[in-house]
Amino acid sequence: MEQALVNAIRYLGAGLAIGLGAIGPGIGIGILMQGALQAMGRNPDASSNIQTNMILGVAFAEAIAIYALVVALILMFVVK
Amino acid sequence: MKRPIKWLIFIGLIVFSCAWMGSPLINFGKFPVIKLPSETVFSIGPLTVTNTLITTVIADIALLTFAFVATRKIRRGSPDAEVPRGAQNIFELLIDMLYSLSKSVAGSKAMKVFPWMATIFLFVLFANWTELFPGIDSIGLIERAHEGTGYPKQEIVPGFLYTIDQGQGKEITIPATASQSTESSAGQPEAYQVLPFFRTPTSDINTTLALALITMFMVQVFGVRALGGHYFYKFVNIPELKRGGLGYMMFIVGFLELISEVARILSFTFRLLGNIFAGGVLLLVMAYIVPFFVPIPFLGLELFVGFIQALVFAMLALVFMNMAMQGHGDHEAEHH
Repeated sequence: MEQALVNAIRYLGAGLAIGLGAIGPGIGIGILMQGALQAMGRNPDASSNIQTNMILGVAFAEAIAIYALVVALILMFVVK
Repeated sequence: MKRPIKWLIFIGLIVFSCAWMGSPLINFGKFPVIKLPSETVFSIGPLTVTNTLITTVIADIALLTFAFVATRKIRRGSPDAEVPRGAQNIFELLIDMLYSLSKSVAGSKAMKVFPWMATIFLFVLFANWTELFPGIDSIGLIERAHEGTGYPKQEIVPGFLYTIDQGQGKEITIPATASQSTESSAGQPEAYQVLPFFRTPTSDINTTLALALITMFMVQVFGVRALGGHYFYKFVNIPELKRGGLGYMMFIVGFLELISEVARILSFTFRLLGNIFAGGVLLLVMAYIVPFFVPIPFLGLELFVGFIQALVFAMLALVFMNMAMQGHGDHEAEHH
């Protein structure tokens, strides 16, 4: 019973960690893509340059979600 | 000559999709066992061979074969090589794309960093795409569970082919701390786990950490090669300290640079690991929930994610190497 309760809280924590952790990067990547697409629409000649920086920015924003994922994975698989 | 190859590809695709469609038939109603660390399949002396290592070697061989086949005409000096076809065409397209990318980021220094980022890209691409094959993560040796959760086994072909039965059997949890579990669990029914032969290399933290460490080490090497000892002023900014005033600020910022180098290793590692591991879990869970047709778009998604993650890894390596090769003056000019 004790272990079942610990497991329940662990799964809840893992779910909350990735769920809440994905909100910020999601909004961030949305704003980033909006800016990049607007810039590409206004100046299509610069799109290769913008694309490079866009993917970089997306990667950095995504890294935050990945930290949340790591916390969730640790809660799921490492913590006993 | 051309026609048999086309038919071969067609038949291969049919076999591939049948294998994907067929695997849930055997596994229907059985939730996949998800494990983060890779498992040791066998060991040669002190060297343990994990299932991710086996798949890494397979991905390497596939990449080498592909490169060998693609450049065969060029090495023979055949006049046919002038107009690329087939595998050579794909390879030239890839290399051209990567080279123009490194040209647009690094400019005149493109040729220095291009081999590194292209190697990383090709390896990570092939390693990521191994997760799309059926049988990865699901076919392997059946063995008694030493720790964690095990399930009763079920015979399909007696003495040869087994599956673990998660439908009716109850979970048997053996505490990880009990090292003498063989004696203590003797009374319990036997618990079995599947030890897969193959697992996507980049879903193992060891592979991604090694790639991240190699990349960040080479970033430092490129920095020292381009700027000499002045490169380390980026971290411990002695000339700015001598100037006083705002220089103290710059000195402290140098330590932040040092922390960010370490953070880059971590984010390199976990970005690739997280994406590919989550992708593998997604494919398994989708095949569990709806075995037919529904997993197909997710296979397409994973094809895309594998490519994008390889591109992101290579591009970040390229940008970091380029940033390290620029002097501190150029670096500030970027910020305005």
